[in-house]
Amino acid sequence: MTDKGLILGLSAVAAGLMLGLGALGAGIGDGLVSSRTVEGTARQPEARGSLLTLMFIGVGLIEALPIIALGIALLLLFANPLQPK
Amino acid sequence: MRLLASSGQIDVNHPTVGTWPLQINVDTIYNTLIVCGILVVIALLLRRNLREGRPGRFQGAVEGIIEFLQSLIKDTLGTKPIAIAPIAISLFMFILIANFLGLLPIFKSPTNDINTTIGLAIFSIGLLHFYSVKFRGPVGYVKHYFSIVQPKWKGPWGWTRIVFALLEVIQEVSRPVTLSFRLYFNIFVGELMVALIISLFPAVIAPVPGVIWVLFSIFVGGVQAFIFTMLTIAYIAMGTETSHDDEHHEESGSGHHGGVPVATSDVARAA
Repeated sequence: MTDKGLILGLSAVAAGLMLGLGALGAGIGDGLVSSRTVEGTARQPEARGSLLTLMFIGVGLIEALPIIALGIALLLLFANPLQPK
Repeated sequence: MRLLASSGQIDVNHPTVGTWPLQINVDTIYNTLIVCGILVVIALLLRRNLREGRPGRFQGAVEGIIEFLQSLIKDTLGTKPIAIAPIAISLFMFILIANFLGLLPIFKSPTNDINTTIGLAIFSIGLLHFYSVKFRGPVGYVKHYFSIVQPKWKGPWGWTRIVFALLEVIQEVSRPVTLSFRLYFNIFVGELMVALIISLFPAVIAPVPGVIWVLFSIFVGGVQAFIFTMLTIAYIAMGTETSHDDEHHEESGSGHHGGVPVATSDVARAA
């Protein structure tokens, strides 16, 4: 196996792992945030507005991480810095 | 950096002028000036049609944004005499328009360049340290790092405090990095995905995922602009806390819990 093929294959595996694990973590985090928001709204419907704002802040903070993973995965797939010229 | 895609290449390089110590990304400067121009035009239009009492739809929208941010600042900072509102609202409007500019066909977001976001982050963290020194005094500013925790076992020469002070310094350094990378990657990947969707999907079905992704990008652009502003405000609120404030806070704390102010700074602590 050539170096180029090895690097390409491992990069593809790394990109897949990165996206999968990033999505897994972000999914758990998003689920926790939304479930607590629903609980809070059910318990105290008048707090819905401020809870929703807080939920969007939390979701935005969480969503940034898989998007960073997506950026690095795209970098590995399409513009690999490890690939010999 | 060139991205290979199925049909041709997607160029994500910024066209530059000059060499390393003074290298200028031309498109970033150009698009930043466009954003500033849009903001000035909005302000001029707003002033011309300004009506007291019964605002039009446009004036109502801008007033809504400003009132929302002002109430957020008031809740987060309390009664501290910091004139942060003009800076925070300017930051929010600039980042919002900058994020939305990239969704138009021929323009690119200034925020898809890491230099812009690092500049904004250094500005807001510099502001935090400026106000921190101003409120705590130079001695109190340094002392704060050594009074984060009071561990039960202090150890010889209080070395546990030094370890926690080091951790606090690492946290302070990581703040501008996370602030700038969060904004940069969200916008950069958003624009990259549009280009990838156009080049990877056949032209007949490309509009469907394209439109879905652009709608998601509108949401992300708004949320990221708000998060950047909110974190700047919350960091400054945390950085200007003095020991006197803490006592006061605990006295009147019970009425405050569950509302936006306490919770937003909690979210900011977790970030």
